[in-house]
Amino acid sequence: MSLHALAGKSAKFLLLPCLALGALAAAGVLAPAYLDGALAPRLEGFRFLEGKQLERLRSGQSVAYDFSLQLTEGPRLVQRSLERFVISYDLWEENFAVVQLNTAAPNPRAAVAHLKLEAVGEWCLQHLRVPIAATDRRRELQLTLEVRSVPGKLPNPLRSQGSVDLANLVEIFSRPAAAGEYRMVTRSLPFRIGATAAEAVRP
Amino acid sequence: MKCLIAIAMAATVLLFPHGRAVAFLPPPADPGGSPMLPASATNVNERYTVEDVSIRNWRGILSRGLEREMRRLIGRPLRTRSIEIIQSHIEYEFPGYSVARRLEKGDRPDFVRVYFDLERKRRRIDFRSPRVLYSSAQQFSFGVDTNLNLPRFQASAGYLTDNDERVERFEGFRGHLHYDLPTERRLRIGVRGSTYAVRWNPVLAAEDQRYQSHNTVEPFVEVQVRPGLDLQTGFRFHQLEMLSPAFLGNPAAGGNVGSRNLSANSFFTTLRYTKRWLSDSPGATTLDAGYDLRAASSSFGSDFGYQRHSGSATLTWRNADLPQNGLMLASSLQYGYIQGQAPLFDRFVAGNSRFLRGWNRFDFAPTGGSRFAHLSLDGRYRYLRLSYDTGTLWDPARPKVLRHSAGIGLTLYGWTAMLAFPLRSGPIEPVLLVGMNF
Repeated sequence: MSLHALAGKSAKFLLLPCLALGALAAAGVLAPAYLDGALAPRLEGFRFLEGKQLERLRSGQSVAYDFSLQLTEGPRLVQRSLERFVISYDLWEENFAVVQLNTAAPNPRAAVAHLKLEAVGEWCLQHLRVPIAATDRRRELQLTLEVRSVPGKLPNPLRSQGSVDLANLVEIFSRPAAAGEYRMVTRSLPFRIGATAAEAVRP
Repeated sequence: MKCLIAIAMAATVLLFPHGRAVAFLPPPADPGGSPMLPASATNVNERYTVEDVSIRNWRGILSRGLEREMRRLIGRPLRTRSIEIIQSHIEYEFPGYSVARRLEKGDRPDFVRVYFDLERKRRRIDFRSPRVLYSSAQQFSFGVDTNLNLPRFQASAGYLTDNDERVERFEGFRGHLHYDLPTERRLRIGVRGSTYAVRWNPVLAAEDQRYQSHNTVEPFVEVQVRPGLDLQTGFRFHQLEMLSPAFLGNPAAGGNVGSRNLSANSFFTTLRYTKRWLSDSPGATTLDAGYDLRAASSSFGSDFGYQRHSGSATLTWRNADLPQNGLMLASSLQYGYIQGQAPLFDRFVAGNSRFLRGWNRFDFAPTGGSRFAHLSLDGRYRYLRLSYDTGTLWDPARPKVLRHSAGIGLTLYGWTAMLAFPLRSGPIEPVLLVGMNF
């Protein structure tokens, strides 16, 4: 085989993964970020408000979304974080407000208003963390983000005004999505915590 | 000073009738001038005030209670929970509709309008099975109807075989048409009809009263007297083909002497009253009461002359949505009285899937009775169902015997499987009931 032919074959071999990675980067790939002894998800241009749920929001109702962030080592679950965010649309100011419910206390954990549609996803991700204190930093791990809308007919999680039952959240993520329910799952590429932490402290 | 105190007292009395005076105050405002959101709110629009609450797609009248609840929200800060409660009340009041809510900007800044949209749940053409029952004492009863649902007009046709409701098994076809006149209050005109063939249990002794088929036509008018109170009245033209020539009425008058075809034409009127008391939780208490009169007379060309009165009242209480975590208790009372000689199909029956469940009607009253009193208690917790019935069925010539029965069963997706026992000394033979709507 000539050198020229070999170079052409290698170029094809390299081009395909590069194109795939480029496409993924354009769509946004889930990446871990080391933050205060925990892992936070990073996903460029993350947007999950759409379809029927967005219609409900624009008709003045609040819609709850459950977020699950899982750290896995192969098939083994290492850590998991579950959060519920309740989103509403301000009819007069025409922007969004988000409340992060608390699993331990009746008061919301965090809240924000005056968000544009594009900023809602980023704010929710900023409030997700997976603790990694007891995790081996040399092992190859993967981060999985799952987002599901909460059907309106479920026992209303908002009745207790701000609190959410953790067992209820676990049950929701263990069943398949119902018709009309929003569901999104995305995974990061494999990574090691040591490398991620080193990147975080690099100036 | 006295005047000021008097005004303050009067204001206190007027504004605190239900402990809700705070709701009459404008919502608190932030220093920038826009209303503030309560700390526990999960909907940003809760900082706005309700300008109006209305139901779209509905031109009829609403119950006074619902109207009052809707009006009460106007001028107050929006609260998602209050809107949800009203939505659940509308769902109760319009059981055939799905209810969606929508908020829109009001005419004034920082005010919102609340709309509830009603949408018919029923399809234009649907199939329903209002009767599915298996009883180990009386075998299968089954019915299926095809309905055509158009705005204001409904038609249905169906097939039914039933060995539970009357003393005989009747099977055949039935149908109805009705039209809702475009009036403010519900005014419906319609006609029902049926044609049934009859099969008799061999234990039945009343051979001279047996018929092999009967056909019915019932034109009627139904009017909503007031919300929750409906009156239906009309005529029932009933033709019976007897198994043997019947000897009814006055032989001197002729006409029906020894005739195989008899008429049981009657005037009927039914009054139904339904009231629901709703609470903040998904629970509710419901009263459903009714009175029914059928009066057959020779003036309507009837070969039978009788008056049949019957009444019922059912009080149901439930604390939450079944079956997730619900408890439901129901108590119902029925009575019936026939004056004169009624055809067998109009006699009262017990020992079936509704009355004295667990008793076999062929054991104590195969031809039914002309007098009837019954009390039933039903309880349901999640999937478990318990029942207790007590009642008596008698004729002037037959003594009253108070009977009791109890049942235990499971309910799942609207289906119930129940084992019901007659409570008596001596051998107890349970009856298995499986089906819907009993």
